[in-house]
Amino acid sequence: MTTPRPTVTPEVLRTLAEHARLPMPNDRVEAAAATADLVQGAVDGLDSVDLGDTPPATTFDARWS
Amino acid sequence: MEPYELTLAAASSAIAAGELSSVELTESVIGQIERHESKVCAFATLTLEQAREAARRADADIAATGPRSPLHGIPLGIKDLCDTEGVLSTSSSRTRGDRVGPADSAVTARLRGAGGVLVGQTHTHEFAYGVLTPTTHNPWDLSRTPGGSSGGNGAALAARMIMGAVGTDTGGSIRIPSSVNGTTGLKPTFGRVSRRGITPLSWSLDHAGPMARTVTDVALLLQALAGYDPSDPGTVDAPVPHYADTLGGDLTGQALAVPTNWFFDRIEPDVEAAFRTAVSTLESAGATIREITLPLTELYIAVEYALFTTEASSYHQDALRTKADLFEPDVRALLEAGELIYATDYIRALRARELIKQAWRELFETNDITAFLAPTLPATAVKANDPFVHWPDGTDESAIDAYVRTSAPGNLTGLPALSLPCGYDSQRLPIGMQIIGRPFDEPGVLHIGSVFEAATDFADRAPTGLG
Repeated sequence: MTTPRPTVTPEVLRTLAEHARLPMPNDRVEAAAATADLVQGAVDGLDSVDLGDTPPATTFDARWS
Repeated sequence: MEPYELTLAAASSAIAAGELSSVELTESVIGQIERHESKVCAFATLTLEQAREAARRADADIAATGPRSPLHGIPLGIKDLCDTEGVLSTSSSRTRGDRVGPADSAVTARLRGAGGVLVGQTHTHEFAYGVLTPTTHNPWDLSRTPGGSSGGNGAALAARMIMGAVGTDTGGSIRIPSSVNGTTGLKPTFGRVSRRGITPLSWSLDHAGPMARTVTDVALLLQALAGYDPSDPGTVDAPVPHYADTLGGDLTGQALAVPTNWFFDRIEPDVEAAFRTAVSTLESAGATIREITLPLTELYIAVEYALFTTEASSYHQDALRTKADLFEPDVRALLEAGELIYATDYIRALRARELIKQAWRELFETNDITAFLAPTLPATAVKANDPFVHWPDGTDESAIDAYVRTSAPGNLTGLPALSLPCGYDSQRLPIGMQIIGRPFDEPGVLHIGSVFEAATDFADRAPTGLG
């Protein structure tokens, strides 16, 4: 993943929240955009890793008991 | 010495010897709560009458057949994230202000089954989603945070208002309050302790575990808490050893690792000095110290945040649409942000976590080490009204970023991680060291901790902020 992600501006946040069906009152947009941008920035630390064929770490267990 | 000043192990021995009753001990602890709770605010709900009744029952049972475990008759606390039947169990959230626990969580049931006397539900940062526990004050300096999210436990233990507790740890929430309150806490191996009946923050990272004042006390609590539970798919059906058996002795023949990176990228000088002295103490006890370089450090925060923000937002998805105004602003903002992470990024994090696990396995095996030593946190307790670490270079780092940075490796790898006090900074605030071991090697981690504890007196010191 090499394409940088756009900053989560208040305008971007409104669109993302609408698509997630998440109510976003106007008086929350600025704070929510700032937090979302910080979290997205942290998650983008994953961009550099070469995962190859590594499967995800999951805990699904098909046993019934 | 008053009964409330005893360690859990000492009180347990006194009860077994008939020198102390549970009623005397519980009344002594309640006296301490009455003296200090108004300043510390460690409890979301106190259950003192139920505790008195449980203590009377414990004394009668012990008189008839002897103590059924070392916890029999001992006053304990439960983090408010954990359900206790018939008691307000609110996760310290206004969204659950009147919620009564419908049944005991697995950890509550295990402590109760061992004969523990439950004195109350201790405060958590709302839904365990933070490291400050703003309701509560640090007994070493009431203007500072008790850490979090199990901050009520840390503060109550330091103030001698309980003798042991159960906490949870998703990004450091057992170890952070243990470090900043000068107490001891163990995040066990992922799968060692059941989380049934505990409100989740992040299913893939949540751990439940013991908190107390000393390593021995933590071992006694873990003995009661550990074990497979088919109702928690995260638990593992592995044998439960006798944890107290490995305590004491020395470290001859053991190799321990100290990292050269990540934990020391940014660290307060007093914290680093105390940690280095602690390493020397372990070396004097017979350990060989090896310097190692931690792998894949660039992924730790990315994976931690990708997993816990999305999973927390999934759990609270409906509440965020029906009672958003009742969440505290910091928690609401994180829940909103977690809804906006793509599923492919979440799965990328799960895959990267597997790489981290394998790299740490190689680290332990290649270097032939028993455990890995590190400062629990890069800084001591921040001011409650200024939750930032102010670094000497003029930059500021939020407490959550600083505290989670050094805690996350334990959650990502799922390895057992013990925090215990190892010194004080120039303001007399406690500093913690963490000992991270191999999967399910809680005995090894507790052994190392017990050797350090026996060589120092940090676990005996009482907080200086209560007047």
